[in-house]
Amino acid sequence: MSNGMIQPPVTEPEALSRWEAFTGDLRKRLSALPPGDRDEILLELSAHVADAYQSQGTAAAQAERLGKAIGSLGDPDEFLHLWAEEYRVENRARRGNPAALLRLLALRFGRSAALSAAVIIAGLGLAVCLLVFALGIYAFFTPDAGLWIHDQGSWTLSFEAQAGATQWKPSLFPLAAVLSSAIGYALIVVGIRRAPVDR
Amino acid sequence: MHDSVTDELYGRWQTQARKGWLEFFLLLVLSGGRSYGYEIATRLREATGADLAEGTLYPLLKRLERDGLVAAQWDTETGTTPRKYYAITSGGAALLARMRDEWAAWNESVEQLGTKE
Repeated sequence: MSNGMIQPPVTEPEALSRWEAFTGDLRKRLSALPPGDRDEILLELSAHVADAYQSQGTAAAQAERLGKAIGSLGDPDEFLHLWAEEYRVENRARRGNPAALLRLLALRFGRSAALSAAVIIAGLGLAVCLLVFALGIYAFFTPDAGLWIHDQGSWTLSFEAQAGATQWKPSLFPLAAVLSSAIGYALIVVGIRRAPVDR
Repeated sequence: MHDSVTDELYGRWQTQARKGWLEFFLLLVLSGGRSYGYEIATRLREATGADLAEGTLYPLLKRLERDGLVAAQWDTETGTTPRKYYAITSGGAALLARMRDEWAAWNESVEQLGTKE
């Protein structure tokens, strides 16, 4: 194994040169992918070529056998295009695209207890944020809407004034909602970026 | 004997058909036990006789893995070639069962449509 790839047992200069060209081209074309994922793809493809090379016996020259082994993968434009497609959703999610993020979360939901719990907590948090935000907007038009704190310490979310209760600064609702939504969203994006991909 | 137009149309149809069948075939191979990329490609080639661009299998396996239909694990035992093994999950097995039913229904339809009264 060299440079994170599995090199077929070639020793002849022409074959070595062909191997270097193949791996260099793949590395260059996959450079846009996250490094960990790119290295895994290279390792898997090089293992495939090594297996294909060794299945051909020793009758032909090394360069010819290596050429056939590399050729078994097909047109690089075709399979690398499929890889790019595969990572498009992943990359958009990592950049914070909301639709891609939701799709990725839905796909990964249930894959692990920790991730499922995180998705549920983040979902509940965002739902509360949305509620507070809606209430904040409503409070612009209906001053009585908001959080009412009773003397006993209990509280009520209400659109109407509550007898014997104090209203909790409804004017701060929109700001609190925007801030909490932004923080929740940022936490999910950071979590997705740092999460190992399907490993 | 085929003319060039028929060959071209057949080639286009065959390419599209294989793309549609490939996920089904991959799950079928994996239903027989865990396997790695080259071994899967070899089994597909031997069973179907298709001249498969084997590099296209890996993004497809990745998609199946992402969708929870197969689980993948690297086997990096010292002294052997590191290999990423794929195994069908319960979700994959459930989908495969539905695909098998659909496949059987298609076959029946083809037989019926191709039979003159």
